[in-house]
Amino acid sequence: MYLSVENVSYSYGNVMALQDVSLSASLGEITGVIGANGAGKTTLMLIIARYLVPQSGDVFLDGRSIRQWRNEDFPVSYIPDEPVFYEELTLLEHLHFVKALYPKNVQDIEGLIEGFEFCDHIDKVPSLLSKGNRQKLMIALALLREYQILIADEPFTGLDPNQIHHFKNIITEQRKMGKALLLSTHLLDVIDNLCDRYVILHKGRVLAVGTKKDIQAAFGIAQATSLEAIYLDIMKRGEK
Amino acid sequence: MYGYILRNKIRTTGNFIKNYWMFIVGIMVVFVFAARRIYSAVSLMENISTYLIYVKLGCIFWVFIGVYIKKKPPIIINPATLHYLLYSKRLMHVFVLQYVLQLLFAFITAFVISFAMYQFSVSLAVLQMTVFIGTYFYVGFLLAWIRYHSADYKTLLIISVTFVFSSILFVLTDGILPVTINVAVIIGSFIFIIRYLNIDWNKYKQDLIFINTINTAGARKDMLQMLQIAEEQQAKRKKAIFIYHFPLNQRNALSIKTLIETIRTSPRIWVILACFITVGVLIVRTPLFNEIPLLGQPEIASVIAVFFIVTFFLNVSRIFEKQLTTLLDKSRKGLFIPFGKSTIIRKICIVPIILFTCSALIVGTILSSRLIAIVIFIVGYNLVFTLRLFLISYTKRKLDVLFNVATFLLTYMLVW
Repeated sequence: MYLSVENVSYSYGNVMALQDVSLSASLGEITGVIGANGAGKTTLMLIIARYLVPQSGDVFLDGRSIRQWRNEDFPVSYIPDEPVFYEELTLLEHLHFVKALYPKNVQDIEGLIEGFEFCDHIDKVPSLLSKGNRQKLMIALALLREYQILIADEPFTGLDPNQIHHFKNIITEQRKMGKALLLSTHLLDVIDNLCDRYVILHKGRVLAVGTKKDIQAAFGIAQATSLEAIYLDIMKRGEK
Repeated sequence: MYGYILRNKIRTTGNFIKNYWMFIVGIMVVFVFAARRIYSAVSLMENISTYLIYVKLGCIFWVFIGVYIKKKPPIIINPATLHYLLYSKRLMHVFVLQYVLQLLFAFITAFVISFAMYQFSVSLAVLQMTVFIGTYFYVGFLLAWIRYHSADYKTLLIISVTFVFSSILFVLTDGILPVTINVAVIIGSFIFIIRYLNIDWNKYKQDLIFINTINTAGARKDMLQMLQIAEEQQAKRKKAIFIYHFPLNQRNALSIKTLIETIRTSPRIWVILACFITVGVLIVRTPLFNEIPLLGQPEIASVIAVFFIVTFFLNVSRIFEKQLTTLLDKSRKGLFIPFGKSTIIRKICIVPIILFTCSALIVGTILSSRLIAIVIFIVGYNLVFTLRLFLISYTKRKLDVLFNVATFLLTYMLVW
């Protein structure tokens, strides 16, 4: 296991966001983190990306606690749910700047410009880009880093169907290259059959972990069905 | 509903007064002094006709700016009011109220001008002049409103012809004739607005949102948001130098980004800062300000000059401090920088250190400072600045007083 989250808890004041959460992810594997609003997905992502420090428990990457990793070697690339940019730099400058910070990454800028259809926008500053283009730029910047695990919080938000398809291809390629990917999303139909494993979070706790079949078996859902149907079924049982 | 709009207005104004009361008091003091000066100047003039033409030209210039230069909409309402009332008749009531308020504003301004012109005494002539100037201002407001929503050549031509015609009448004539014509233009403009003007709702809404964001941030004294807005506006301007024009690599990427960001800082800020340093140098080196009380005495002049030069260095420091804190903040929000804090600071420091060194060398040379004083300033100031960056990034403490005192002492040494 490359990523190992062990008994992590985190609260915002009196509100418990994560409670004793444990999960793992391997290299060459896509893990989908799903759950309702407020389930704790973003908090989990922020902890793994080292933006939040867990109040108890720990996160391990390649057997080392994330606290022990130096910034220079930290093998995580993170796509936040809210795009964040340098207001004064253009789209192309963002790409060149991040590329310069990670010289060992072989991803070329031209390929990203073509793949994400940035050609008409390269000299625009982020505030002049559309929501979808800003999201694509955030993804492109994440791909330019040197990483072993890519964490993406709602990465499909604002993307058109073509770009969703393109990003899914990128994710699959990254898996082939032996990277670990952790995707959090509400769009269950988009990640259905894309992820190798799923983690269902509910009110800060892990409700289910495993492949789609594992989860179906664990909850006694016999017939083959969509991820959305499985999720809704589990939630309905939880309410009862 | 109108109560809520009013309540929101009162709340925003209240916040503004709470946060800027010192500034408001300052403005009022300046206004009182300025009014006294104007009063004494006007009292000395015997014949109104000697300066009437200048007042009229001033009014024309004011209206010209409103019609052709200003980009802000002449009627400003809350964007939420526009959004929620766009398809209701109540929006018409809001606009009617705005037309009345603008009429009042035009006449109050006209009255203040007329009152000052007639040596601060109320008479029939003052009231006539108020109506004369007030109607002209209101014509200007309506033309500005039409122009704001019009892009077609024909409308712009009509606006220009009306503006030129009204302005010529305003300059050349007095009395009932121009007032009658202005009233006719006002009625004609209203008919045009109601029947023919296609209001550009989208542009209007976007502008109102932008103005509201600035006003709200201003009223809350939210400097970070105001800076962010200013940066975004600045970033939209055309650029000549790009980051990829430099030989970028992992070692220099942050320094080059700092340089680019510095180059893209608003030229207005650099001009203002350059003015500070120039005034400081002029006070010490030339007799230009000797006539001004206190500045004629060399000891006091030096201290004041030091204040001007210190203002330059402190503000340039603030620019780079902001760059660092923004970079670290963004690094925490997703734009991860693969270096430790101390490495980031060291890389960012290069540009300001070069800038401070060059500035100190220029100022020191012009002021004929001793070489040792220049060297001490360069080493001392760069050390203090770097230390402050470390303090800000590691402890979030700025120790403003200590930093300002150190800057003042070092600059004082440079000036002496």
